[in-house]
Order: sequence, then structure tokens, then C-alpha cells
Amino acid sequence: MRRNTGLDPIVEQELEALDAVLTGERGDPELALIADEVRATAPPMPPGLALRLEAAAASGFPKAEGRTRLGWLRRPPLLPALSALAAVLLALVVGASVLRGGPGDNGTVSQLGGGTSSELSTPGGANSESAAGGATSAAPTVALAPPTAEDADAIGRQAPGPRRVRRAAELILSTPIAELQDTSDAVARTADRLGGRVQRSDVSAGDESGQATFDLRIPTARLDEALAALSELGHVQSRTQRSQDITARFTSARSRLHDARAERRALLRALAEAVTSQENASINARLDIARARIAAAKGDLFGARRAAGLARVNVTVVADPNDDEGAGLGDEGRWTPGQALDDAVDVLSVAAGVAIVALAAAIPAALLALLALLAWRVYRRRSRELALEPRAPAV
Amino acid sequence: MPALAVAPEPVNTEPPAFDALYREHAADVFAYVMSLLRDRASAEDVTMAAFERAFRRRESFDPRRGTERAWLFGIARNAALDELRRRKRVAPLLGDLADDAEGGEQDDPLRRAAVRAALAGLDPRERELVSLKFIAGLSNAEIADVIGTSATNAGTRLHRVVIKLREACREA
Repeated sequence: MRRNTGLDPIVEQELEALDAVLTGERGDPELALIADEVRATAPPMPPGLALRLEAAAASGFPKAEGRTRLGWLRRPPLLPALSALAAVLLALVVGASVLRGGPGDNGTVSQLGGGTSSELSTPGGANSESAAGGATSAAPTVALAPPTAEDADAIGRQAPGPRRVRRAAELILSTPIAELQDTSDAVARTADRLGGRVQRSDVSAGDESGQATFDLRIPTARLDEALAALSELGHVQSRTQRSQDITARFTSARSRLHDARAERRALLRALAEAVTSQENASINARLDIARARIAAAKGDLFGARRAAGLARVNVTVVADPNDDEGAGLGDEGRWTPGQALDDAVDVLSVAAGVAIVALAAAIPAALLALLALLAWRVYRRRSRELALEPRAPAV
Repeated sequence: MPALAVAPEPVNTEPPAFDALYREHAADVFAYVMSLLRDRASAEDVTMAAFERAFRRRESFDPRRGTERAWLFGIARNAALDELRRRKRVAPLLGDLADDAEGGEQDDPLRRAAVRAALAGLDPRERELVSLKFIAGLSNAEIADVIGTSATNAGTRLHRVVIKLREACREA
């Protein structure tokens, strides 16, 4: 039976005859003689080699196991373990990047908030303290106004009471533009939570810029707490605190009130003792003046009390289109699940970008490596084939 | 109560396929390697190394790319050629095969001597073909797989070798 091998028929016939001889059919005596002679020249396997091979086969070629290059990857328990390890490492990297991009700045802000409370050391003066760019000035700038003669007179006539201090602060925050509205709402809620109020607010937001300003009144006793809470709502660009001793103003108003009341009491006694209508008219006129003084002193005293009891806080929130560091924070610094999802999407986007860049670099490198591998294989094959070439005879 | 006989545990836990392959072809592989190297000690080492390589790579064997025999002889060939490259020389044309030959039927000693001389005069590539065909009994397609050529080319080259041997036989 002829096979369609592409060989010349004569060649194919010769090869078929050879196959017949080698399978035991002794059709062609010449070929059979050649086959016998070739087989007769075949070296028998040395007994020593047979024993070595038997021993190696019986023990599973133990030396070969240690040299397996990538065979360890095929071991069943190792591949899942490596996959799990890779997944854990990936989760750690993603988690670390999310946490680093999220509330990391808050620690700095909280630290600032806790360390900027100011204490007044000089009565009757003003004290200002500022922190900008995350740094707190160590020595507060003090600008003291000398007490007026009226104040000194009032202080001298009144027993020294508790010091009255009017405090004010100014805070400039930056926040991502997408967070401007949330941050503005959080400012108002913070004021409300601390017993204060929003005196005035102005929020303007556009596509690429925006700003919100707030004029807050915060109970002075909770000013430091308020500043700390407000500082957590964004990136603190600057923070300034001022304080002014208004004890003299307070004392003066109280003294004037005391005097006016005393005058009124005296006038009322005099009015009771007056006998003529002229005296009555005169005393009544003076009573009107005394009452006016009392009202004015009461007003001043109320104003001083209010100034000492409520601190004025100006908050400016600036939307920074380039600032996305605070994107992981929600209302009052909380990290909500929705923002976590946004963070996860951001991280995946960045990871995909990195993967694309890495792929762009890896593909040419892989092609080069493939070419090098192919070239090396061709070279090895050719050099192996060259080993079969007869040596040139020595001259 | 009779003592239980403890049977020795087999050390080799591999499936019998490789064991059978080794037992069936070890002698042929050695003869083939010997025909390339013409050095008994080197042939023993290379044969050993070839079976170790085959054992290591046994999972990479793909039946779609050829028979197990062709795969095994291919590994042996590469090992032998690597050894030849390492020695930076080609095997001598005349080795000690003739001394080991047991001889066939002594009905035509002259022609047999002529065939032996012709065999000794073959170049390494021809000698390789003879070894793979006559001793190992590989088919032409298997030979083509081993030496990395087409079956047609392998058949043609084998035919030329047979013609050479025939001519030597007829000239005697």
C-alpha cells in the first residue's frame, strides 16, 4: 500500500522494503544483511548503566526533583496559597492607599485645634494668635491698649471682679470643590451643635471655583472646641485668634449703672420731700436724665456681657479644584460608605492607569524577551546541529 | 497468631507509563547516544541525564506533537549534542563499535565486513539516521520529529544512507 508522503515512488518503495525487513519480513536479502549487520554493531547497554537506571527509576530520579525550575508552581497546595497571598497583598495595598488618601490630614488638623487656645496675660489689652499653613506661632503677638482714664476711674471705684475677655477668631479652610456645599453645611451644624449661631453666611459655588463665608457667634467657653471641630472640616490654610480684655468696659458700665441708680434713688427721695412745683419739675427732669443714664449703662453692660460671652468666628471655606485630599471625608470628618465607594473607584482607576502604563512598558519588553528567547533557541539549535558536522581534517 | 508480613513500600510512586517507557527504550537510547558520541563513558552519563530530563519534563509531553518515543529520543539527542558541544569536538568516525559487534550469520563475511566499513565511514548525521531507524526502530515520522525536519526530508536522507550501504554491500 502506497502512502501519500510526497516522496519519490522509488524512494518510498525502498523505505517500505526497509520497514518490512526491520519488522521481520525478510523480503530483500541485501537489506536484511545490512539490517543484521547494523544491529550487530549496536553496543549493548552496559550492566552498570542498567543498574544505575534501575535504581534511579525505582527512586523516581530523586536528583531531578531538586532541579525542577518551575515544577514547584504545579504543586496543588502551593498555587492557591500563592494566589491568596497575592490577593491579601493587593488588599493591603488598596487599603493603605485609601486610608492614606482619606482622613490622614485630620490628625494634623486636630493637633492644630488643640494647641491654639490663647490665654490673656495683660488686662485691658488685646491678644492675637495666628496659625497659617499648619504651623502655630509660638509667641503670640500682643497689642495692648493702655487703659483710659475712665477705665482707671471705674476700676478704682469698683471692687475687682472676674476678668472679661472678648475673643474672636478667623479660619480659612480649603476643600475640594465637590465638597464645598457639604463643608458649608457642616460649618453651620458645628456652630449649632456648640450652642452658637450663624450671624451671616454667604455661599457661592461654580463649576471650577467657589467660596463660602460665615460669621459665627460661638459661646466663648466653647471657642477652642469649635475651632478644633471646624478645623477638621477641611485643610486649614490659616487660623487667627484675637482676644481683648474688656473688663474695664464692663466695670465702667456697671459703675455708671450703679451711679445712675444711686442718683435715681436720691432723686426719688428728694422728690418725696419736694414741696413746690418748681422743685418737683426740676427733680423730675433730673430723674429723666438719670433714667437715661441707667438705660445707657444697662445697654453698655449688656453689650459687654454679650461680647465676653460670645466669640466671633469668621470662617472662610475656599473651594480648591486641585485639592482632592479631603475627598474621603464626609460630614464632620466622618468617612461614609458612599465616600468609601468613591475612594475604591478612585483607587481602582489609578490602579488601572498604572496597569496600563506598566503594560505599555511591559509589552515591548516582553516582545524583546520573546525575540531574545527565539534567537537563543535558534542559536542553540544551530550550535547543536553544528556539533554533528565532521571536523575539518587537521593540516 | 501469625506475624503479619510487612511488604516493602514501593519508593517510586510515579505512574507506570514512564517506567514502561524507560524499560522499553533504555537500551535503544544508549545505542543511539553511543552512535553520536562514540564514547562509552560519556554515552552512559548522557543516557542517564537524558532519562532524568525526560522524567523532569514528563508533564510537558504533548501527544499531539508526536509519539513518546520521538519525544524521548529528541531529549536524548539534545543531551548528546550538548555533550558534543561541551567537548568542542565531533565524535570520531571510527569507534569501538566494531569490537563489540557479535556478528550475524557468517554466511557472507566479505559483504558483512564491507557493510561494517561503510557504517564506519558514515558521517554523524547519517550514522544518527541509521541508529534511529535500524536500532531504535523509529518510523520516518518519528525520526523527523527527533532531528527536527519533515518526514519527507527524513525519508529522503534515510534512503540515501541505505543506497550507500547497498553500494558498499554490492562492491564487496
